[in-house]
Amino acid sequence: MSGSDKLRVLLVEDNPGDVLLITELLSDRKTELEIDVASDGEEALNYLYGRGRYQQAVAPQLVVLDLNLPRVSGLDVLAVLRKDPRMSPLPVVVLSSSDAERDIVESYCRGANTYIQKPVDLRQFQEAVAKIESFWLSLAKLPSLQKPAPKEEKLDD
Amino acid sequence: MSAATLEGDVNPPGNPLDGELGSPKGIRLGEVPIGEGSLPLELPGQILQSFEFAVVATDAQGQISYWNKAAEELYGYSPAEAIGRSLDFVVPEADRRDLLRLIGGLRRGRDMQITHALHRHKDGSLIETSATFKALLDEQGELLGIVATASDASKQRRLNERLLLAFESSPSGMVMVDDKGTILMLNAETERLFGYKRQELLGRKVDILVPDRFTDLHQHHRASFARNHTRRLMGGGRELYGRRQDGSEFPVEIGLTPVETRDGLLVLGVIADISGRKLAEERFRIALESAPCGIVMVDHSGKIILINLETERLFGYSRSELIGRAIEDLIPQRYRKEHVSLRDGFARQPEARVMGSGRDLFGLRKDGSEFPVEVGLNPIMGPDGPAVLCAILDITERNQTAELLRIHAEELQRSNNDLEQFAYVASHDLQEPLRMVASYVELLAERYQGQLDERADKYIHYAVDGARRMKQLVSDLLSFSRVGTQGKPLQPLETEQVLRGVLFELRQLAEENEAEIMVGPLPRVMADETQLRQLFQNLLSNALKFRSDAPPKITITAFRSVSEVTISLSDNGVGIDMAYAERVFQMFQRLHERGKYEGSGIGLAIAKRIVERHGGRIWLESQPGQGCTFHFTLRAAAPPEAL
Repeated sequence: MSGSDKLRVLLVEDNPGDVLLITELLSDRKTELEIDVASDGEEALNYLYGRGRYQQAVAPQLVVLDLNLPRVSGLDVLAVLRKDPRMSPLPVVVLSSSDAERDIVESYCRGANTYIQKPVDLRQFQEAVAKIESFWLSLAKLPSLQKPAPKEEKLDD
Repeated sequence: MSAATLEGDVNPPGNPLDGELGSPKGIRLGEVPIGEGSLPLELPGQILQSFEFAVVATDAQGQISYWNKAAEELYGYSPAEAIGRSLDFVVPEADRRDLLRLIGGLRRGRDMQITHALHRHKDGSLIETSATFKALLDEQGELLGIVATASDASKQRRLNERLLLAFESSPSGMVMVDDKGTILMLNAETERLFGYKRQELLGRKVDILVPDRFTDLHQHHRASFARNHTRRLMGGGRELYGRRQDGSEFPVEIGLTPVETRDGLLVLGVIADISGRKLAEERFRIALESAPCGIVMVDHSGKIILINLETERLFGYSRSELIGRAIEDLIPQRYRKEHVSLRDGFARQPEARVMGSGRDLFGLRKDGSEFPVEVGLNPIMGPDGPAVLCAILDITERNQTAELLRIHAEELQRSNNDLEQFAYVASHDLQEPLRMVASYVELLAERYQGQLDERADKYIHYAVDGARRMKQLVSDLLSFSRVGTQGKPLQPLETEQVLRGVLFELRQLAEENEAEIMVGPLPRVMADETQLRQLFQNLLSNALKFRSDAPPKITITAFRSVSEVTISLSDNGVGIDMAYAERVFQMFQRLHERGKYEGSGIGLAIAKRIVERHGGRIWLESQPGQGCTFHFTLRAAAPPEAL
């Protein structure tokens, strides 16, 4: 982390309810967070690669990724990031409502740093978000990535 | 005087019917050479001695001059004691006059027979005798002497009585007729069979016992029997009937025996009432014909020798078309060759069994069409050698029913799967929006409780409470539907190891409750490990949850039968009224008011679902306040060394 720069988190989440919930819960604790939101996988990749309207976007230190996303799924986003040496150090926390074994296994296979199931219970949700925050945003040292030059990324391999 | 003969109306002593009195072999009494003008003493003594009837000879004056051994046996006097005495010394005094008269008659050349006379034995007793007297005359007609024979008539009488009794008490009707068909003799059974009194039949024509429609034929046959008589069954295979006095008829079997007598040819008819046999035959016929399956009897060469009505119906052949045919004619061409060899095999090792041992069998109708059959084979020893009785069942309908059942079962399975899938998907997908509702009402409660008015607080409270309950229900429903949709294949498991894992997870709860948990040896079972863990967990949690005031004591034991393991989990908890024993396994059934115990009542429903998915049963035994025992069965797994 460099100096007084705010920690930047990219939240990839299509459900506005969850976006609000997560941002509210996160901002409960910290004011030093910049939370950007992408509402589907494609938008997330555009953001990360500075494409289209995200040309000015700054590279985040952490991605919180939902799996069940329109257009490009969370797992596919993971795959793209991990195949790109420039992106592969970026920590990704999967935050999904799925508890299906195959989702969990597949996420880790594709390089997720952690997999957290969205708790149904609000208190547990708060706790989960707090723990993500305290671990990833306080305790863990995160890499600072240079935003790569805009170019098309292939999704199909 | 020519050779003396002893034939007459009376049976000669030594009647061939009487074994005790049998005459010496090779000697015919009529030919005893009592030579003309010669005295009986000239008879070869050996022969006379060997007679079993008494032979006594006298001279012209009646002085006894010969006394054979049989005479000694009959009267008790030795020859020395008898010879020289008057012939009448064995006759009681009162009868001696008669004897004198008889001898007088003999002098006039009249032979005499006395069928019944009382003579005195040496010991003083009277003996029943039958006797013959024969005068020996010279050429001038002068009496030379008398030859008398005597035998014990009581034997003869008893024999006659026995013969009569035998005839009389024969279980068959017996009728003796002469060559003209006149009834001479009949027995009691004949009276009974035909309903006549003896006197009503004696002297009548035998035709009276024959139904009118057979009378002419009977006379014809009787005449031919007279010409060519051999002992045989009457009727030559035709059905015979007797006619009773009241005109009714009954089926009979009649044996005819020609008896040649001096009175000419007599015929002894032995009549058996075969109504009973006819009835049995009729019953057999009805049973055979009304049997709901085709019955075919096949001889050792594979030839059909008997079929029933149903066989005709099944195969479309008439009886006459099938009798004598090879059984293979009822089998489709493609199976015939094999069938012949299979049939040979069966003949070598006959045993009652179902044919085909699981293969599909087909019958071939006369019109060439085929139908599925089931065939039972039964080796029998028929009247003409070993045979096989086949019971043939048309199973077209049964197959159709089985197919329908199979389709139904498949549809049921499919709809069951669909339902499970639906429950799973519904409960799964409901979780997302539910999470939103629940989270935001809770957030609302957290941030705005007390900032609005009292009424709003109440609204928020109920919204939160409802959302919480719904979350529990949806999550339980999801767990429940997972048993069916997310199950893994069953595999051999070390039950004790699985249980140890569960106990480890529950150790904190168990400690808090100061529970004592005892585990007996548990055999290996076939199970889905995740589900077996869940099963133990749910039952143990249940036992800990419904504890009594005493520290929980839980015992887990198992009993293994050949293929099944029954695991029993007993506790000393509050127990359950057996009236609710079924209800506790239903989803969301709670026996206690909300709030007393946590949980939505899914634990035992899931336990039951798991056991049932494993092909087992679960039940409980309990009394309120006496604790509770849950039993469940699982398939036993082979011990590890056998794998």
